[in-house]
Parts: sequence; structure tokens; C-alpha cells
Amino acid sequence: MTILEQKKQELEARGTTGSTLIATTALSLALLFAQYSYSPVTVDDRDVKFTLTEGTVSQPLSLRLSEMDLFDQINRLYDDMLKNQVELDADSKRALYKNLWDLYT
Amino acid sequence: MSPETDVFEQIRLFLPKYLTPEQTKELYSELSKFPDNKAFYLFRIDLRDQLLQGDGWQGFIAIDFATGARKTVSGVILSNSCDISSENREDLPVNVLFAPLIGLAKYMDRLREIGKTAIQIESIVGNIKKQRVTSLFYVPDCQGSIQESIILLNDIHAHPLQDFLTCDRTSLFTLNQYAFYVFLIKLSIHFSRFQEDIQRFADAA
Repeated sequence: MTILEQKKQELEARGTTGSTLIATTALSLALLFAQYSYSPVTVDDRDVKFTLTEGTVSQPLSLRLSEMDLFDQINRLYDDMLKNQVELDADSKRALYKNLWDLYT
Repeated sequence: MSPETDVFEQIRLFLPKYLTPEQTKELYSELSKFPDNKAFYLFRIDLRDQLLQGDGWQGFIAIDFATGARKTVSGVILSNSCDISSENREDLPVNVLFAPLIGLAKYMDRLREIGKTAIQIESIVGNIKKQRVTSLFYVPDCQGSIQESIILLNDIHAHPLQDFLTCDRTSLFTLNQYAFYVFLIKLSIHFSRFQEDIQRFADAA
């Protein structure tokens, strides 16, 4: 179970939608995603998301949930890579780094 | 602002700012298929000339520290895209940081040479392809541009931007949004192990 999933369960049990959710994951993801990379997408495209009005109760809620879902997926990848990380064994590492120059394409 | 709104606003800080709702949905869908998703590339002619973080290029010069030898190689850009934008002032000595590409088949040959069994090689390569070896980033083959390859995140070279812009170079691939996120997470884990449970220095005696 990921940290995010665990927190979600705790929050659901208390009948709320997420006041402490960020605490455990924000620190790691802040460092990762606070870099605003260049994007080829036009300004017009970018505006689509954030000019949505809060005319109904359901629209902003669904928007938020989709962003939450995306956050959840990014966090799942992070967790997967972090928890399942392995190192090459010493021989395999040596085979890679010895004459590394010759492996370049 | 209510605590809940505050939480969602904080989450937004960590999400890409430039995605349309449709692109957000697509990114979500692609991410959900990790680690088996090998659809890494974006095929857009208009992006072929842009230097973007995570993209592959042929034409970098690698320099061997021990011998001083120079070699033209293919590599993946590690620099942030904005830092190597061609709009940067020409008088600033900006470098493009890159890691040379290594054909996975060549590495597998070496594993065979040192006596690894087929099962052992399959296990090693399986971990590499699932991005579980923290020091390596795996890229699948790309329509005749490159075979399956890896880069070593601890084998980083620098090529002056202005020189790279004027030399013979060929774009090999452009990562799509999904692969770019995999790449960012990989970089983050490799270079920023702030969750590691190892003391930075021993207590004073």
C-alpha cells in the first residue's frame, strides 16, 4: 500500500476528503515538480484548465478529483521506483563500467 | 480558504501547469500503465529541432577524462529545457548536460561474456526495463532511430550549448509527457535521496 493510499483510507474513515493528505507526500514531490519546465503547449491550451468557472458544485469537484487522480498516479510511480529499487550486482556493474567508452553509440 | 481547498491548491502546485483536461486524462491513463508502458515517444516534426530535457540526440562530444580522447556520441539531455534554450544569450557559457546512450544489446553481450546465465540476464534486464535500477534510465527502441538503450545517471558529460547548436547533430527521439515524468522521477530519486536513512556525518565524539 502506498503512503497516499494509506492516508486516503484514514481520511475516508473520518469522513473527510483530505486535509492531511499532502503532509507525507508533498515534501518529496515538491522537489520533483516545483520545476516548471518549458512546454510546447500554447498559452491558449493552458488556459483551458484554469478558466473553468465554479458555476456548479459538481464541476470543480470533478476537476479536483481528476487532478487528485493524476497526483495519485505520479505518486504511485514514485513509490514503485523507490520501494522496488535494486542495484546491479558487483559483476554486472563491473561489466558495465569497464571500458564504458566502448559502449557509447 | 478552507483547509480542503488549501490541500487541493497545494496538490496543484505539484502538477504540470500546461496540460489541457484532455492531456491530463491521457497522462493519467499512460501513467497508470507503468511499468509495462513502453510508449515513450512523441512524433512531432515541429519539435525535432528543440532541445528538451530527456530527449535523445546524436552529435554530442564525450571526452574521456583519463586519455583526453574525444568521441561523437548519442546521448540524452539532462539539462532543464529552459536552461539550454537557444534564446539564452550567446555570451553566456551554458553547457548541455547529457548522458551517452548505451545499447542494451551490447550490455547483454557483456553479461554473457562474464558468465551470466540467460535467467540471470533476463532478471537484470527486467529490472532495468521496469526502471528499478536507480542509476540507469531505460529507453525502448524508437522507429529506426535507436535500439533499446540505457543511460547511466552517474556518467554525465557537458557540451557547450553554442558549439552543439552549430555542429552536426540529429534528433533521435522526443519523450512524450508520460516518459518525461518517468524520467523526472528517476532523476529525482537518483540525485535527491532525502528519504535515505543514512546519517550525513558521524556525531561528534
